[in-house]
Amino acid sequence: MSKSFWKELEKHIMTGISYMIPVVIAGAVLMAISRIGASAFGISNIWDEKWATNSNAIIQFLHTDDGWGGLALGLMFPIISGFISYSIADKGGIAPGMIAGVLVANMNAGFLGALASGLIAGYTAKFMFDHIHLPEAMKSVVPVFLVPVLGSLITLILIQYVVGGPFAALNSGLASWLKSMTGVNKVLLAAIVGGMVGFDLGGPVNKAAVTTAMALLTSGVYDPNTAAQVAIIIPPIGLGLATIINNKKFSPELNEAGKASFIMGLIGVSEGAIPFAIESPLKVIPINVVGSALGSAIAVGLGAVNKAPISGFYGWFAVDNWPIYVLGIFVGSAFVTGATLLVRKNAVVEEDNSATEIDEDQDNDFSEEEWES
Amino acid sequence: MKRKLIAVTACATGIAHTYMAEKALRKAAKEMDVLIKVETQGATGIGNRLNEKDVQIGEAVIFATDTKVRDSERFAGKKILDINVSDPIKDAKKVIKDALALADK
Repeated sequence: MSKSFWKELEKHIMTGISYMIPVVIAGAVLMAISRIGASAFGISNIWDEKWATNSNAIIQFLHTDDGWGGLALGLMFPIISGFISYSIADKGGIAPGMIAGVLVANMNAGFLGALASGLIAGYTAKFMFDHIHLPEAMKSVVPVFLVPVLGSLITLILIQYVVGGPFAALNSGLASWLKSMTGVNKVLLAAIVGGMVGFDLGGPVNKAAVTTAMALLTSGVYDPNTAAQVAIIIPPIGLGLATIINNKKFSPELNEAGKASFIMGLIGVSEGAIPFAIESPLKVIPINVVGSALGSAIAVGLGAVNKAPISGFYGWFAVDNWPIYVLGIFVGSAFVTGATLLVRKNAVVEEDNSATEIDEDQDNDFSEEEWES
Repeated sequence: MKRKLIAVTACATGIAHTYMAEKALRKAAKEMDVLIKVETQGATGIGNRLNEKDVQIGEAVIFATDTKVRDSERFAGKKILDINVSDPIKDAKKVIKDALALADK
């Protein structure tokens, strides 16, 4: 019972995250465009109202665009809360989840607050659906009236008066603590964030680190983001390079995957490394964690600052101290490449194991007649 | 008559695992001489959507998903093997065996 409960919980949270990701990407990149554009004009506070009336139309636009990015990011918590709730209670969960998510955003109760409001709203709505039994004629009162109104009310009360305050305090404490970090602590933080990102390549640990880092961008805390963006691309680049340097150590499938992985790494997608992690997790995961942590620690420790949520190569040159940033990526990737080649033995050439081919352009591998026979 | 299964794959980002699991299931099914239709619920939308007839034909449903299955009410009343999206990528034949065993129960 308890194990499947945790698996369910993880599923709900991952569902919320999967709906939140495009919103975060949209908002953060809109904001990054405005801030990088503004830095070309030597402006470092483009969000300031005074730029709204600047005589230069481009600067005016960059200011407006920064506002759009903020709008999009403001949706982040309502969306994750609403869709966690949707995952638990289906359509009926969305309204209470999103409404409470807006309260979370207004109270500045952060990622944890949004998780809490999504879970509270979802389980409240589900409880009502499961336990309120009305006569047939009045059945529709539950989904159209009771769940939206009572579900929202209960969730809002719990967020406003019970969990919102502590989470808001935790959130602002975390932000100011991270901001005040210097020296060894800063490097340690970067290494931890990097290690988390490298651990499961787009899985829950990675997403927790990356989305928290992106959320902190809006509070002007850049180090976790810098660390995360460096770490995202180290495993796919490092493993891709390893296949290019010595293809004898990998099966034909992995050599193919390696090329794709290298390119995916350059454009900032860590999932390219997944085939390697699946093939030999015990070797690949520790190497990825150490490589990512190393690269992040170097980049942040030596003073690179990435203010955009962009890890692909096209974002490298907008980073403050970009040569150091690239050095971090290079050292981390080189570690992954070297260590991988060191621990891997030459691949056994298998007897044609690709005997079974499926046609990837087709949806199914048989005809409709055969299916329906 | 060959055995028939249906499956839904989905992961959080919807760009990698979803499709790797689909390929793995189809490949293993082909090797085991089982017919399988796999619906992918990825970032670009629902691929190879299973219709009412498919659901009726499939002896059991495999949910290889890390997120909520969209429109899951389609599968009401079916025998469902609920697993992680990474399970078929690791060992798709075992997943198919498990699904067939579930169908026989």
